[in-house]
Amino acid sequence: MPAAQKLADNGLIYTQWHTCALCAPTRSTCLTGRNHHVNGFAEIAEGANGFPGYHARIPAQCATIAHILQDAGWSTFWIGKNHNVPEQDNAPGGYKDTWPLQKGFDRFYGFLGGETNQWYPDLVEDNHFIDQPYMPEEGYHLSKDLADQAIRMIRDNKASNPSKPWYMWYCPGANHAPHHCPQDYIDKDKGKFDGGYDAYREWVLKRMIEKGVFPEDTQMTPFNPMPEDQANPLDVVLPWDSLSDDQKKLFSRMAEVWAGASEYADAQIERIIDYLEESGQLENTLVLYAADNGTSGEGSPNGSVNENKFFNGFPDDLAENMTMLDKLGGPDCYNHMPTGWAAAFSTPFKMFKRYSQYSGGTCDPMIISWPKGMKARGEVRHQYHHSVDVAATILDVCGLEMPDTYRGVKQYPMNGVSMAYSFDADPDGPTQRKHQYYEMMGTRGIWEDGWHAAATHAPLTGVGHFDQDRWELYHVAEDRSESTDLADKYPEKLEHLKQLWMDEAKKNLVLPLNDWPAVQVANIERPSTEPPRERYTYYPDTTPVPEGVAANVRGRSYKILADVEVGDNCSGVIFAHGSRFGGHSLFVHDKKLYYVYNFLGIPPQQELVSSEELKPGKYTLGMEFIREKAGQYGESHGKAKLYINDKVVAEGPMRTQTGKFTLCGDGLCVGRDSADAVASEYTPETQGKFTGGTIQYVEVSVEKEQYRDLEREMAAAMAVD
Amino acid sequence: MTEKKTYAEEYTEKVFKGKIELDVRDSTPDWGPYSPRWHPRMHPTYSISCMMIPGWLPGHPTVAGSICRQRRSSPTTV
Repeated sequence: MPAAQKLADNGLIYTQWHTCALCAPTRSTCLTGRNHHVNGFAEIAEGANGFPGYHARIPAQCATIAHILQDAGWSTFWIGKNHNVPEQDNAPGGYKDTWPLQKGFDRFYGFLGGETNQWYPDLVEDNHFIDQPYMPEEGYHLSKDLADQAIRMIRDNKASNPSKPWYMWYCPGANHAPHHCPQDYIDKDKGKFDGGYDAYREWVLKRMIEKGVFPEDTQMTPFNPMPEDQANPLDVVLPWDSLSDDQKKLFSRMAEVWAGASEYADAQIERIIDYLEESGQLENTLVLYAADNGTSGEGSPNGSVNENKFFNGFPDDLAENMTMLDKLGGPDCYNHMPTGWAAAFSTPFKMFKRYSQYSGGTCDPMIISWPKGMKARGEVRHQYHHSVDVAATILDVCGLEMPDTYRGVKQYPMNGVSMAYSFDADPDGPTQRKHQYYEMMGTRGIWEDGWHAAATHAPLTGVGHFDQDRWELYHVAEDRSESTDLADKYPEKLEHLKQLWMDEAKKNLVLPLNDWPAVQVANIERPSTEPPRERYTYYPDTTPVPEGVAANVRGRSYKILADVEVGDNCSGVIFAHGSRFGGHSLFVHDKKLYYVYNFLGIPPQQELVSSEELKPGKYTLGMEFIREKAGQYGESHGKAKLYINDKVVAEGPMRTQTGKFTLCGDGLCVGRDSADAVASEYTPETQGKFTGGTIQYVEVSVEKEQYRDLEREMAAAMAVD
Repeated sequence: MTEKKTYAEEYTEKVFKGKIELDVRDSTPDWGPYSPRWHPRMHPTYSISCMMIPGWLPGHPTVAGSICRQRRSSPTTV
């Protein structure tokens, strides 16, 4: 990690810096200096709900630091991940009042969603969607592209307005899933994780103690600390000793890929740091280098070659995953490492991302470097702080304040405090933080004056009964890893913290608590300016339509019909949505009509091929899926038919996904298949562009009632009583 | 002693018409204050062509024409 090391050597490592335990909520706190619920970002944008802390629309009462800096004369740039835009506005025609250019930024280059394919990303430049500038075969990787764009923006600013300061919010797609990485970086860590995650934990804790990150008496916490009646089975860590040789091989490789992806992203940041140094800007640039949550456990206990299975509630299969061993990190995988590594990379804490009650979810790296503004070099700071303090720190350093009223709107006060006092403070000096509440997906915790209370409730379980949650108590000033529960010893302290949590919850719009499973959260009905309809019409030569606003074929019967004029040598995509990791495509190949439904990338791809060739002429080409039942994991099973005019030219059984094709990107297209390809008959490089004919339009009809996994939803609802 | 409410609480009480309890299962959402601006239905779409020449474009079929730098008095752009 060359950039991280360089910055740490030239500045400070904070050992007790915390986040909200999830990406978009943490990012919202960095942007506004208000707690995540106050920003409406109780969780990710895709989990929005109609409650004051959950709507995923940063309100006008929360001006961003970019607004303030822009007005004060800074150039303001946002590079990379956003995820603070409501899902229904992540669309070419969507409202753009939450897009970066309307949130105080002069420029934006990146992706609006929570994650994206690093080889074939979903890109937005300023206020519009764009295709990637070049392809992986030409050396493309998102991490590299983002660094190039960052340097360009700063250089442009330097060239035309050299006296003007700038602010850059730089958010690489790595090391979030998918863990995509150039092969040479994967190879750099070959064999380093073969000892397993238990051995890694022992090694890394010792190393962190040596570096002064943790006190010498820091205790290791157990894997799987959640009680059985609360634990989420998808978050369980399998003991390394219980793994088969194949599992060990697969899991080790997944860790190598994650490490490689992390280092590759860091190496790209190093290029930016080097540019700043060469151009004489580094000395007076305040650099904050941080993570936005604990290590991600969305890979499930077995890891995944396609993370989208997690969001579809569909388990991975070891035999299938083993076939992809040598392809991990490349374009053929959308991989994520197993929970064991998520826990290990959160050593010595309990659990990982999403678990806001434990430091495994919230205590994250933070490095601050500002050569001109601080004397310290290569030191650590143990003052307790939180991501909500970032905005206050930047404004403090710049000599600015958040106004009481911004553009005519009375502002919610900032919740954060400046960390600037700590730059030249004693490493163990007192923090200016008083307390901080935590809440994420029904998990709860609170810190005050060196004590921490944690409710033993796991996220995404649907267990409910929050009033019966058991609370633990830790004296983190002396027990940094939260290893010894003192709840029985100090019941009054615990009661005080529980009451403080409730007080903070009311002040910060935290309630109601929601631990619904992912599929249920994904299917919450949300308002859109385009009301749900049964018929959607799409045309060629348009920007891909993002999944959040595209025709929803999940859990229902549907038809796709296209008016097409076929000429000689006609071929290519008529309609496509998704990617090889989940998606469907209607296309002409070798003069035959194809319909491919790629179910979560599980081979073989489901395929219908016309029995007859298409001769030149005008046709209505299409397919129909008739849903018959739900499968074991809520997926739909039914029959698909392929049509040329009114004649069925192929038919067969088919299963379709209950969840989305992607979290971000690979939108619905007509006349091509943007970004990654759904079907193996064409490649992403050509996008399967339709040639040799004309597509008039494509109509998608969906059954009005969406079949949903009522059993699961009822089980969650019944949990109330 | 009742602690003073935050501005976020006060503002929310004014605009939020749902119900909030500890558990989402006992609560009722209200998307009203948190919805995107609703565009007017059946409202005409506008397009303005801004040409770099003086004078009028006769018979432009679908748009109201506004001519930049035009020197003659012009009608209101619809």
